[in-house]
Amino acid sequence: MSDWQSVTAVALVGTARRSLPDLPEGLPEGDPEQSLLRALAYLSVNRLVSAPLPSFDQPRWPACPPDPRPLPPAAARARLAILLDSDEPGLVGEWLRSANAAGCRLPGTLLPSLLDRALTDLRSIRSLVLAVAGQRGRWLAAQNPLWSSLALFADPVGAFREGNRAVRVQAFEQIRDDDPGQALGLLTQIWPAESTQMRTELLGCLARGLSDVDEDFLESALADPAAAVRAVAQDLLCQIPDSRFLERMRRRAQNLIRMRRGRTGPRVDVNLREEYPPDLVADGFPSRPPRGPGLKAWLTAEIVALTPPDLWPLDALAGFLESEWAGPLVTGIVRAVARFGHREWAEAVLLLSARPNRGLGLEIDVRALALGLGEAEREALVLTLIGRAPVLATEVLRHIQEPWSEALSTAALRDLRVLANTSDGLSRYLQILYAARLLASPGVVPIAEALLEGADRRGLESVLQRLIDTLRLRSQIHEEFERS
Amino acid sequence: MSMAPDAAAAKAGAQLASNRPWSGLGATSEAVWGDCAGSAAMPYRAAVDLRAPAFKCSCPSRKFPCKHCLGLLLMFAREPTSFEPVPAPAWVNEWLDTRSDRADRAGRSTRPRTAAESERITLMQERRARQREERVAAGIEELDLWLRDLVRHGLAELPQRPRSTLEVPVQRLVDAQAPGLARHLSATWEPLHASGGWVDPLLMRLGRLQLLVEAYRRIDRVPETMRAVIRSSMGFAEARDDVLRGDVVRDRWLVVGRRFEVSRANLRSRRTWLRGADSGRFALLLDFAAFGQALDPQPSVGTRFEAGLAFYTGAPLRALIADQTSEPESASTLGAGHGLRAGLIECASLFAREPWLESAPLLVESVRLGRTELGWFVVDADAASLRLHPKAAGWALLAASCGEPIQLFGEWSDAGLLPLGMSGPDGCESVATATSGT
Repeated sequence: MSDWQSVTAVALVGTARRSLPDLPEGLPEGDPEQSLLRALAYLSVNRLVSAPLPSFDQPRWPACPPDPRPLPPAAARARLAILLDSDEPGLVGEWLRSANAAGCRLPGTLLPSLLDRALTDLRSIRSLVLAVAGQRGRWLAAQNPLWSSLALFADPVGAFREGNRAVRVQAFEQIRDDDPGQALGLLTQIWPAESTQMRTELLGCLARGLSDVDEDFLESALADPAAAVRAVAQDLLCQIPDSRFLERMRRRAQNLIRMRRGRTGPRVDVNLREEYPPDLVADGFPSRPPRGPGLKAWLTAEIVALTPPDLWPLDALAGFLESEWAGPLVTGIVRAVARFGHREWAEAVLLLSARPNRGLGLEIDVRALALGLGEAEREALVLTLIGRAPVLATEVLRHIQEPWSEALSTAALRDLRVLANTSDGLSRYLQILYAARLLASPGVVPIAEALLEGADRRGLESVLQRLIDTLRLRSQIHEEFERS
Repeated sequence: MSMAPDAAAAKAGAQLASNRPWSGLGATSEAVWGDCAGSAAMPYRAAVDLRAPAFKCSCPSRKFPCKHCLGLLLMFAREPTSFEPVPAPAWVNEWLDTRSDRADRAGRSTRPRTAAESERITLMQERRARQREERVAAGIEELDLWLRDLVRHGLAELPQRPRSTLEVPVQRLVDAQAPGLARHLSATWEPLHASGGWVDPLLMRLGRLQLLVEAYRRIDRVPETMRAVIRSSMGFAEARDDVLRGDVVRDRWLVVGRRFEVSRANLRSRRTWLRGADSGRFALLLDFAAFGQALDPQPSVGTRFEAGLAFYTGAPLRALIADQTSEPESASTLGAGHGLRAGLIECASLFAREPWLESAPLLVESVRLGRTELGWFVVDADAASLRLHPKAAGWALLAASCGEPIQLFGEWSDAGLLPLGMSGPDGCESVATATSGT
């Protein structure tokens, strides 16, 4: 009686070079080749049906916490499977947003594909995936080392104490999101032992869930030996309304700048002595002013930049421009507007940049201005700009990553259409239409269709068609969550 | 799109297909229809007869078929799920009926065949059948010589041989009109391209291929039912109508798993596994569609419907739905399954009937997922373990199971169990093959 191994050994080297072992009884006679093939035939079936079932204890996985949220409706689940296969990643985001809004969890079988996507995609998708994936997503990611970098730590404090730099920062973010107070306590504890870079990054994490509880610690960080850490501390203190730091900055600014009414409008005087005020050092400023710009110019810009712009009436801008210190004043106010996010000032500054010869050669960072504003204010800003300076409106609109409101979607499509009459404007308008696919409200389909009817340029036609298709698909996604 | 009367209509049709100004979309096996909102106050009603492509639309266009019908067809090809599988409305039915009448009249109008003509046709058919038998026999002899030569020189160097030299005998079998055997031979080489050891899996397949060859040579000496199985495995297909004329097995059929494949010729196939609630019998529904064409909509995994199935004589797992007598309703589990040991015994009886079968259906109860560096496996309540196929979507199964015992359906072969359906904490779900996490 021969076994599988001895027969396959002959099959590998060939019957020409090795003779056959004894073959199973009862097989028909034949030449060596035939006999070998028949032995394989006989043994293979035997081997197949007597496949071993090794004994193994049932594996125990850590318990997966239950998720009380309902599954999405069947149509929505089927849609997600299709979207994951398609080449329009933005629509997966749309699905996730709808699921999040409907309070649904993810179907388990699709979790792995979404975690993979969260690994590679933009941060915006990542946080959405993590929100919808919920407890089960965290549980699953903990089982696969590939997904561990999704900052889903079962034990974030342990990861924070033992991980490498990137892991520590992610773990700290998670701790901060779960319990801001615990994160602050942990940071206070380890603070003196950390490197400058680590201190800078960890302190930056306090921006999540920032509150006046953090103020004392941030005040102490103003005395940090590293300028980068002090800058983060200043920045965060600016985000705590009515912090002591802001109060001090307001007082400084009021002493620095005196406003009075002139015949043609407000006049501004800058009131500084030629020496470096020693109290600035305690508020995180360098111990000596930097070389280069004059002391007065530098200080003026710095102080204005760290003061909430609502300290000044809006028409102070005209006074700034007339002033002998116009350059530093405008530089400062632009930075302050970006930092504190003030819609009316943002509008004023942006319109200033659009006025020829009045921008003082200043490059205005539209992105920073746009991102400094809250979501609703950013929209309101675009809506006012659309009528007054459409090109500028597109500049701000480009930096809006959240879904547009119905009003904004309508205005962007219909009122920016005038841009398409010039070739430079056309490419701007096309960019807006392209962004509108994923951001505009699906309710504007009729407007897009009307535009398509009147489309006289080739590029416009195809982009509008694509816009309409995608908007339709998006409203289908929404509807599938409503039907249950 | 080759049906379009001109490029403009094709373009407009394509636009309408993506544009979705449609409502009331529906489809049966005979026709698709829908209302298309256009420039007129009333939407245009478009319908396409799928039996022999024919078009009807209420639009004033003189192009035929018009863009609405083209759009409708394209959309049906791309997104069959948008079409409700409902009975056709009256306006579609009336149109279809008039068309059938016309087709009948056209059929009757042809002159009846004379006796001599019928006899000639029968003779020609017989001659063609005889020729095919001869070709298949010659093909088998050629394969036999080739295989013997292969084992005489040994298989050790197979991985180094150019792929094309192994495709030659496959193509020869296709030419010899034995496509079934050709497919088995082609599958025999697959382990060469897979990761992991190739020797045992390849020789296992080669052995079972040899069994099919030997069986065909002795076909005159085996019982009738076995003969049909062997012929079917060689590639002698049974006509659909013949199958449907055979006996019908009535049961409440539960959809337990589904798998899609795309062949090298870009042919899409769908394998849907059913299991009878009363008979416990497995049934495989196979559908094909050219790439880009749609497959008919089918009930999803975890739903149950009453139907009579007609099974193929030569491929006893494969069936056609003869008549469906109830709408699908969802079920809470995939039905009563086995432990691994008992399940594999059932598989073994299928392999005993058809040893060259590529895989056998397996439904198991209360298994937990496990994973080692060698890959995924499942363990049942009796601590017996079975490895999963390399393409198994282990992470998806683990996520859906939450680490708890689940019910699993899949195709079992020497490469392991390939899960296609499961029932766990979230109810029944279909399981795709793996793309992620590993």
